[in-house]
Amino acid sequence: MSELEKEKRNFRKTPQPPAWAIKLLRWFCREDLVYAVEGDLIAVFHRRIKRMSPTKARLLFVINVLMFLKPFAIKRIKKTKKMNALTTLKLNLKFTFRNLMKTKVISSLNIGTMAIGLMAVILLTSFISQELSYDKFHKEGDRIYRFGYQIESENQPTRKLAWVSALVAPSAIEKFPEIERITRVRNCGGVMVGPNNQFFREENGFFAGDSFFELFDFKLVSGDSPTSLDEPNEIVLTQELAEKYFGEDDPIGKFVEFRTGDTLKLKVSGVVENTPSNSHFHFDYLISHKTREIIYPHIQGWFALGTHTYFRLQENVDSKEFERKVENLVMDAYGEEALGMGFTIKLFTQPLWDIHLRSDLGNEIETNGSISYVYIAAGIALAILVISIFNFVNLFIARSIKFTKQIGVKKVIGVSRSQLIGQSLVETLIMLLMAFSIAIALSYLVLPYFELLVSRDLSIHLLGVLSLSSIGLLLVAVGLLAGLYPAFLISTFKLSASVFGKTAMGRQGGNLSQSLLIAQFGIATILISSVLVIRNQLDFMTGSSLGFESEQVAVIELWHNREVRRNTSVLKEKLLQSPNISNVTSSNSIPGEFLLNRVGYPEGDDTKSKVMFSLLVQDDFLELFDLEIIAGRGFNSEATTDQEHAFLLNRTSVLEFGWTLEEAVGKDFQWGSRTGKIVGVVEDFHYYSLQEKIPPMILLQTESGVGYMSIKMNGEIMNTVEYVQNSWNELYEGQVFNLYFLDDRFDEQYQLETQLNKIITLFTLVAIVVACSGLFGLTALNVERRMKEIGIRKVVGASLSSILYLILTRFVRLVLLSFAVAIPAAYLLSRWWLSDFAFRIDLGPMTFALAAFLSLLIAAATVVLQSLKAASVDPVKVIKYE
Amino acid sequence: MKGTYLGEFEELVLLTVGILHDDAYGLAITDELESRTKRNVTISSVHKALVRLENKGYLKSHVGGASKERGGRAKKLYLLTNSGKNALKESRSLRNHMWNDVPKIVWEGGNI
Repeated sequence: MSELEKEKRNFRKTPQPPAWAIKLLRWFCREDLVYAVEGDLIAVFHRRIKRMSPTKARLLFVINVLMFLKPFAIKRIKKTKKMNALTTLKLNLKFTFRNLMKTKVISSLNIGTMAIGLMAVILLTSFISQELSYDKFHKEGDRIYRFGYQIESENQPTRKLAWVSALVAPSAIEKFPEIERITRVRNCGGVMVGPNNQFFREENGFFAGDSFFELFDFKLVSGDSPTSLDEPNEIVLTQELAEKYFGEDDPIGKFVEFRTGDTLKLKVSGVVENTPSNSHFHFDYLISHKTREIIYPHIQGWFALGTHTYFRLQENVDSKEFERKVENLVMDAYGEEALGMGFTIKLFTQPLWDIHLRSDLGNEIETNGSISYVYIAAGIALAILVISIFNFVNLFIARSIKFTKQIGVKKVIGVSRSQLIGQSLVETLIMLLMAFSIAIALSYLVLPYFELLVSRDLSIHLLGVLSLSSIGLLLVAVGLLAGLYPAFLISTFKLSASVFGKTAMGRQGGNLSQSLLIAQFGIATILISSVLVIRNQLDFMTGSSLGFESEQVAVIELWHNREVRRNTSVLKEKLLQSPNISNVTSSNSIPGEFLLNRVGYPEGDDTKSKVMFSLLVQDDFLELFDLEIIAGRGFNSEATTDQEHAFLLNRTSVLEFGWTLEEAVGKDFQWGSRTGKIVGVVEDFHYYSLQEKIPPMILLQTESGVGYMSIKMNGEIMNTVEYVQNSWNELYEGQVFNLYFLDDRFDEQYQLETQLNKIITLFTLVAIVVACSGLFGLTALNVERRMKEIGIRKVVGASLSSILYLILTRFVRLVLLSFAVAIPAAYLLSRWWLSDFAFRIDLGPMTFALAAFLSLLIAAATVVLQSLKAASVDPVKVIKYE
Repeated sequence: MKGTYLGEFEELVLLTVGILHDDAYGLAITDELESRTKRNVTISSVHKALVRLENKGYLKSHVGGASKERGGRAKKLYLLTNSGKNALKESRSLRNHMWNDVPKIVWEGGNI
């Protein structure tokens, strides 16, 4: 047995003090004492076990250890260091404010641009959250869907409509137990007469019924919610409207008169909260659906469109499977007949929560938003945030060049690197906090204008965006992104060089600043070209001819005036007496308004039938709207047969029937139950907007059924409008007069695009300002660094222009480099956006060249300002320094 | 002067360090004190006194050798510094002066 083993055995045999007590001692006892104490206690223990039992010895050992739990033996908690951190922070703050004061211009540029950038981000984020919140207030909205018609026929693109027939709802709920609730909604406008004989035109109402309030979460403030719209002649008002007509009185059970063709006496059965701004449709009143069935009994049949139908599925029903089941509801109802129609109608379903952002069907209730605009807004927000952060970093570094001496001295005194980094971070944080406060204040200030711009109600969402947690998160994220790199970079400033007043920043810093600058200008260029593309497309749409005359065409509505509808010629003659009115005509629809659609086909061959948009017009329609006849003739008011038996087709429908223009003329044709001949073909014109494909269209002459009178004016608009109004009042006293100009109405259609244009222009400006201030800072840095070099060059005889060239080329090269990435990206983005439009501009190289030229110009202007200052410096001053 | 006051126990510890000369460490001092004073002395109080005396500058310490008995742990050996010696001398001369000033009659007088 070796010595070692003997010892080991011995060790095992002899009792040992409890290990945990030793651990405890080591944990709390001072390091410079613990070994001595431990040794002493162990020695005592070994002494004790010779005299007493090991258990007792162990117990005494533990007591001995515990007796060292006294201040003298306990490890020092590092109190002193903590105090240091606090004083360091104080010192950091002191330096921060001193540095801020020392570099007022560049610091305020730094903070200001960050604030503007953040404001843009805050505003755009609130816009995005509004867009995403549409219809989310319906708690069971994930199970609510809308029916639509999908019209398919051979040789024709499929059309999808948000409208269905009023027959769909009762039939669907009867056949499909999966549907929990279903409701129909149909727009109705008219004149409302309140209890005190107030007349108001109220356009924004619907026939609604069935389970409207059970399906949707519009809250009734009074009235009996499930049954409020069950009976005929019942009306539910919003709070706003109730107040307008009844003031403080309780309107329930009272009556209002409603004129829409007929005059109805409606009992107020409920008051509902005003429609939330983030609902995809807004209403001021709802009239029970049964009322509609009474006053419009003729709106029946599976092709009578105009009804929006919403339903809620039972829980756990697969919507895709359900869609397959309901798809053939309409055609099944037709049975055998369906085969001969030449087209099929399929029902499709659409989730409620997709309607605002992803639905762009024909006949939506209101103009929806668009998911691509949400993406664009998010993209701009991100772009601006990135530009702002890059800019902040660039300016921060540029700014710190002024403090090289300070940093050098600090290093000499022995300030550690981590303390220098801490100083930088504190400075970043303080500046960001200032920027954030300014940004928040600015957001509140600008919000009302921004709301107007995007025509959305955003105040709730601004509060949401500005919640403490989201701001904190953004602050930390931006702080880390913008603060860390400059902090490290600055802490590496070379000691020797910085004391001697050289800039002493390694190549590294320069490279980073350059790449940031390239990225900034790349993003700015992308934004500028997007602005140009959107502008061009918008100009193209509003400026390019829709194919008919719309300038100085005023329209008055005749729907509610029976007298004039029976005979339009009295008013027409009266109007034509004015020298400022050159033409007057009436029709069942005017461009931009709803068109009747009915099936038409070559007489005797209904297999070729097509759904055709039908325009019923009176004399002079073709002349007034300047529609071009490309084959055959127009209507002839002399020929009495034209009244009943003449059709005009547009070019699209002729081509869709497979005829040439000449073949079409003279063909026998049937439209609905009317038969006759095609007398001519008109050139295609855009009835709704350039965004839509031109549908097959048919024009017929009519005497009755007109709803609009169009008046072509020449000059003296104000007086003429007054003349029209006076004539109207003279002839039809007390009737509602509603006049608007057609081109205004059309411009409204481009509301979304116009808005987008404004938004993107505005934020591109923000981006450019921010990017330019970054460039400004970087040039300042560069110039300062090379001041001595410039001085010497001047002494040697360099001209002003050669020095300008010296500084300019560097930045121009960077900006040019940024185009390499930016322009392809801009091209792809523009192509993606334009793919939404049926009629669009060509993406030529000119747009992008212009964008590139603009950003180069802006960059050059910024740089030249700085370089001029540098080039005009007095060489003696810069060289003698040191 | 704050911190230079020498308590009674501290004085004893300081003297013991002197007695043990080059083997003065916690346990040895405790043993020595116990055998001389016939009192129970706890190790922790000795260590406490040592730490304080070192802080006052009367002692200095170095790491000494380990032994099997101590489970391999090193000793912390203490030595008197000059100021420690001075403090002892001062304390002693203070006592001597005071002894001298006690009138003889006190010692010679009868019991009260």
